[in-house]
Amino acid sequence: MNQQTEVEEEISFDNLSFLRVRPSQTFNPSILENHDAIILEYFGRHNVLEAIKQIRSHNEKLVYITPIFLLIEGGNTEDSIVALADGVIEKLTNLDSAASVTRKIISRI
Amino acid sequence: MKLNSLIIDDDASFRVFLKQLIEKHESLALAGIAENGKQAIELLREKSIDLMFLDVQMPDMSGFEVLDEVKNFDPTQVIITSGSSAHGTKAFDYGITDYLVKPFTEERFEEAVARVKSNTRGTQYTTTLINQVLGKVLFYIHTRDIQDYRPLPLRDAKLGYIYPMLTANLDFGREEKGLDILEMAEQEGFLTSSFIDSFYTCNNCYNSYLFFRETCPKCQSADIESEEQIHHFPCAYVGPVSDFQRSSDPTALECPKCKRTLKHIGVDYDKPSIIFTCNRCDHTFQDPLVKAKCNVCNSDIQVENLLKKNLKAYQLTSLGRDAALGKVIIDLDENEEMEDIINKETFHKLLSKEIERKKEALFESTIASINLENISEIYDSIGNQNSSKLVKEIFELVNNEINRSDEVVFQSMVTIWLLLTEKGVEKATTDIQRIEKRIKELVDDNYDNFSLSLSNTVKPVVTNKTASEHLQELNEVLLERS
Repeated sequence: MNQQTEVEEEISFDNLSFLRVRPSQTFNPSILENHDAIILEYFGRHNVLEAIKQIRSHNEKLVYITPIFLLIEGGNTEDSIVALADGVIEKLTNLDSAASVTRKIISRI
Repeated sequence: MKLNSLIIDDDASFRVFLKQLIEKHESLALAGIAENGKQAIELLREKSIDLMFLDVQMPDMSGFEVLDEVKNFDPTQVIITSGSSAHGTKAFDYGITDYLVKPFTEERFEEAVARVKSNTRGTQYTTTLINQVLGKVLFYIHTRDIQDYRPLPLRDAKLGYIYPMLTANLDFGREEKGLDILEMAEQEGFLTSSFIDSFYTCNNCYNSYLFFRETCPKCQSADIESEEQIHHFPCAYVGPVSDFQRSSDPTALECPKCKRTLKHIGVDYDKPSIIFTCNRCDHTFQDPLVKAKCNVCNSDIQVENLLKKNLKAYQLTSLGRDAALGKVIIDLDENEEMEDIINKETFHKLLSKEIERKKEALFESTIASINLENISEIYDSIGNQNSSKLVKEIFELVNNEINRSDEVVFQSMVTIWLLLTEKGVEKATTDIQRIEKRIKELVDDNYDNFSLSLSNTVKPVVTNKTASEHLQELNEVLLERS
């Protein structure tokens, strides 16, 4: 699998817009301004850490405060990296919990 | 610390030229290159840029339009690069740091960067960054409704721990600032805290990736071996276990002094301690020097001089919540305290006033300097943070020793200036000697095997000299001595 490939997919769920991304070196967090939350595939600890850093260090409030969910479908994960996100998604078919967290965060912005 | 730099120019050959200058400059790091204004705005929104080299005339938008778009993205400093000086006045109205007319020399480039560095060292840059980062952190805690904002262990982090949102906004070289920001936020009432743990960092670069080992107190080598020491009760012989081992049977122990076989530990012999031998200098000793080698800057530090940091969990206060929502302005200033201590400008002003006052009335005043001649040796061993603490302690001590109308500042980390009002040289000299004695006691009592050397200069304040001339005289005496 090519690690530089960045999968971007917009998922609409319960009137919320999630952007699913496989983090890579070309990841540009500015695209998050038009989405309610981001789902990052847990695809290599370095890529995930770097993507989270890019989002949280962004200058735009709507970008740096974006809820981040990690899509973890198996494999090894690191607790501290998981704790940096707002939640974990195991299956894209079940976004109820992520939607609830996202709504809560949006309501407090 | 390198300054993240951004090149914004539509001229490809100039971009290459500037890229080479930045890459070979020890204080700069190239963070991005933009060929037009649109790309520049995008990069400035994404990245934390300290310095931009901005072309004024670009096809899609002017440099000034770029500045209008990103005016909220402080603390970026701007060096304008332009083919003509025509926009100079307007550029400086925008608060730029420097204006380079193309083509320019490497020396002129150096000069502009030096100006940027000089601004960066000031409080504005740091203060703005700290306030911005804290604003983000408070907002993050609020939106997540976090009850306990806790550090997370992470091996890639400079301190070995990160705080969500906070650490992401600090370059690796500045990550330790995060703890200071949280502490300042607590002092200002934005957060409360509860203790979690403590850890140690390098006193030079603040990294927590340290290698601890025992070393020889004589030659500092880590090539040492330890052996249990045996005390043979019947003949009172004390020596390392190897003295008791027979070559024929190393498991049996025989006293080298009385030749008796050792039988029962606690009955005819004991192992009271461990003895170390240095393989480099053959020195034997019981108390090795425990040192920590920093994996990053390679400093080899006695553990007593490492910096202890406390890890805390933080809770948002109602004031912090208001600050998160922008109802309260966040205005932290980390340099405020040291600014009062090392403040030559204020001292200069007060001395000028004293000279004017003396022109109006007949009284004596004195200025003095105390030089802490060898204190740099301590600064080197205790690191920047503890050095600042020591300076503060000395400052407080001196302040307690002088009258309220007198003034004391640190001219530098090693030189103290005093203005003793309405006091002649003779009386002032006695006071200065008393102050020197107190400083020496403070330093010598706190640092083993160190004896502080001091020297002083005492001069009368006279009305036919300016404040600058008085201070220049003090400095000249110091220079002559050194």
